[in-house]
Amino acid sequence: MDSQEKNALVFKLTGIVILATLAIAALNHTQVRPTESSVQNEEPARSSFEAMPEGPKNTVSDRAKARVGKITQTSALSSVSTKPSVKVRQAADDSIAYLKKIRGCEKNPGLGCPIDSAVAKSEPAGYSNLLVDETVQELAFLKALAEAEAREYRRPTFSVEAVSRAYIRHRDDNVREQALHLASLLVETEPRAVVEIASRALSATISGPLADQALDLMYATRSANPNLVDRTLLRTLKVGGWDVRDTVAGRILPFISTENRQAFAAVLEKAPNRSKLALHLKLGIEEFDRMERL
Amino acid sequence: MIFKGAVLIAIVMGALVSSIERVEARVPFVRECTGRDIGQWAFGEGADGCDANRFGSVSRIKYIYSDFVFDRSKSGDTEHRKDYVTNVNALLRDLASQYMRARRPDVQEDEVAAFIEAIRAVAHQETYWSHYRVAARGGHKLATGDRNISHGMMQINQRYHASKDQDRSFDLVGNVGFGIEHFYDEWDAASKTKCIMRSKGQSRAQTLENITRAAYSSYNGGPGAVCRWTNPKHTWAKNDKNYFKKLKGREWSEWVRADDHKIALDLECVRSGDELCAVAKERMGEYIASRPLLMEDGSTCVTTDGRSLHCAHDLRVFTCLAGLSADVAGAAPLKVKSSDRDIAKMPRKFHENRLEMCRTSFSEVASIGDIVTTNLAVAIRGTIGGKTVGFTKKGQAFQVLDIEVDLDENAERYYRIRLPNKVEGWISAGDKAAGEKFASIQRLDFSAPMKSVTRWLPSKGGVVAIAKADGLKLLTAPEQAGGSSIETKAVLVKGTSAEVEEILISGAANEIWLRVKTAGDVGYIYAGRTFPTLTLDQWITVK
Repeated sequence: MDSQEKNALVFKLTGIVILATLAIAALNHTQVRPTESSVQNEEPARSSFEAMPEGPKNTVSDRAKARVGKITQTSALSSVSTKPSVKVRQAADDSIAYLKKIRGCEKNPGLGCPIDSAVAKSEPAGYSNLLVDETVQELAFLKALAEAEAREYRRPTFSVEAVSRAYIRHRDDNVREQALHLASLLVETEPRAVVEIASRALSATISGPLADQALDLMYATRSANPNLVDRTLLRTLKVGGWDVRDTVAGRILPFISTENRQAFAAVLEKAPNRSKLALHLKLGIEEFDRMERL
Repeated sequence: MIFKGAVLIAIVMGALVSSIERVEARVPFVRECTGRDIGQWAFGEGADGCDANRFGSVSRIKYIYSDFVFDRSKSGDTEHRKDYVTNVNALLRDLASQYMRARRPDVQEDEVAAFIEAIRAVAHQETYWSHYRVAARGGHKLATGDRNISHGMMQINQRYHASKDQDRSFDLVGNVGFGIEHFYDEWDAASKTKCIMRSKGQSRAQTLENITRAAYSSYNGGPGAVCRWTNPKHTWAKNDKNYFKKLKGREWSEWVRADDHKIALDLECVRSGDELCAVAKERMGEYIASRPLLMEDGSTCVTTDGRSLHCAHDLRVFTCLAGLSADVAGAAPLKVKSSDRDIAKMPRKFHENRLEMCRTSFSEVASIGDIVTTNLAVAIRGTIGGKTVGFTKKGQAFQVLDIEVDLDENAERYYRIRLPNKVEGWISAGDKAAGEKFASIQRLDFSAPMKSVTRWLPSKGGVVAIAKADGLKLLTAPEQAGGSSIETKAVLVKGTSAEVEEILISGAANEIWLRVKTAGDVGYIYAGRTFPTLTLDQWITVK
């Protein structure tokens, strides 16, 4: 390793530590249960009160956008050329190379990996969490970069589909969440890929919020592969994690059709009495039946 | 008089019932520890305890989980610890078994047994099977560790993605259930890794043990640490060694009275959010007249005269009845078997009109179709206590789509609203004592709201257009009226305008029926529901 490489590595590791520290600080900034119900209402005032799907605490996308802003601001060609600027292309290439490096560190912690950083050593899962946080940040950056390119009517310099497919296979749901965000850019152009990615996420996760996100994409792209959607939903309702089953049941209505109604009704029959799964499936099927009957 | 009697009965029935949506703690992850109770490494007392009321309702501990509370004033009482450990053992066993079988219906028995052992050891390693306890100086505490980052028996960490929606700290079944889900995820992945095969011709029992160790390594150290247990020089190898020691030592077995002890909770039911099925211990001196009766067919009933039962099929119907009777709020529900003939043979009257019950029970709470104006910026949450999806503005007004009221003595009120961009969620209006401090109410009884309010629901005298693609049937009566005499008068094609004369809301999902007048006819049309999400767009357009 020459001195230039060493400097780059030190820089990267410093960056990792800083980002991880920021992430931990963000995590530490959590709300405390109010002693009286009144306190619960005292959310900070905001200038915009419209929907804020990622919530006030999640600054991952904000940081990614700021990073992209710096690149596109300094790119002289950004608004006049049909080709991406050198800086944009380089940023995407660097980001993907860095993601590959993180993957390498996940599989084989070794030279060049932040194994000795204070954050990695702070707790048993410190190293794993550090790499997850970095991956999340890079995927958010790539999404912001692709969006910035789209605003200039340019295609991204990397394969959004390939990155989404790769990272939907990651074990961590925080990473899968970013992979789904990235895949959401393909709803119009590659609906078949999106429905496959969302289906994969739904099958793999135990997180209700991630299931919710996957269902959004499946709903938007279900016509691209309705059989896959049916299979995934039915399988999830039968053998999915508890929260995921409940989430799917709560949003089942738009996915019920004349063809699959009976299959969902069969799941309902076996659902535990008084369960959320049973209640929501029942309400969904009842509303569908009204649509047919009335 | 009859109506008043029915309402009273309904109130009595409803007082202990909670909405299916509201089992988990209501707030994002709690990080501060008040009233710290220093733990010691003994079953039921491991990890520090923090004031439980910061995480959730203590009444839930008292009435649902009374068998799962360790009383530290009885630390020296061997029998008390045995009772506690025996109950927790049954809970871990049943939840782990249910989950494994639900995820893998074809799983072999030896793997289920290995998984149960693994979960017992995880709960031992994390907290010595500690969750709720009463401190020696009194007060309910919740086990907390890792500098207050992780909570409860399974030390659920706020980094877990599923915790983004709801705090898994407080509720015992929710906490253990989520820990089991997470551990199963690691178990499934571990079973596919190479490092579990340590020798040629390795026995299946040995493989299952290796999967257990690998799953714990990644549960504790992240997915990349799945083979950490094979490296005795790893920085965190001590965790793997300690876990393995607990797995093999089975120290808990010394305290378990009977390994097949039957648990008094219907776990699947409690986990799903149904509080009524969480049967507390039978207590002498309580009369069935003051208790919700959980019938085997899933309905819930109550009797005031000992001769007849008033029942509801759906928990949502009960929700609005809660909180009016402080006496009943302290009573435990009672499970009634069909073999309990004296009760089972009583005639039953079923109550279904949720909204009417809401209006009667909570006169100070807005009803569906009323207007709430938030007096400060209030968080809108996707589910009650869940993830924030937006904020209201100070002075912004909304149509109420649904209501919920807490069961406890504070009776906190929640309204479901919809932003102009169609994002839906719940806002808290504070408790009864808060009055209209946070949200002012304008009662409309379905008359038209002011123009500044985005209208999602129809109003009396207003006009709706049919939105259903293949038209909507105009009936002689709403379906909920029942009977076979309901006939179709006409089919109103998409786009047809109709004037709304009356609005009827029924059922647990707030199903909306409209009496409408069209060019030549008057009849009833179905217009969608408001729970769990608004479906009106598919049926009608409010003009």
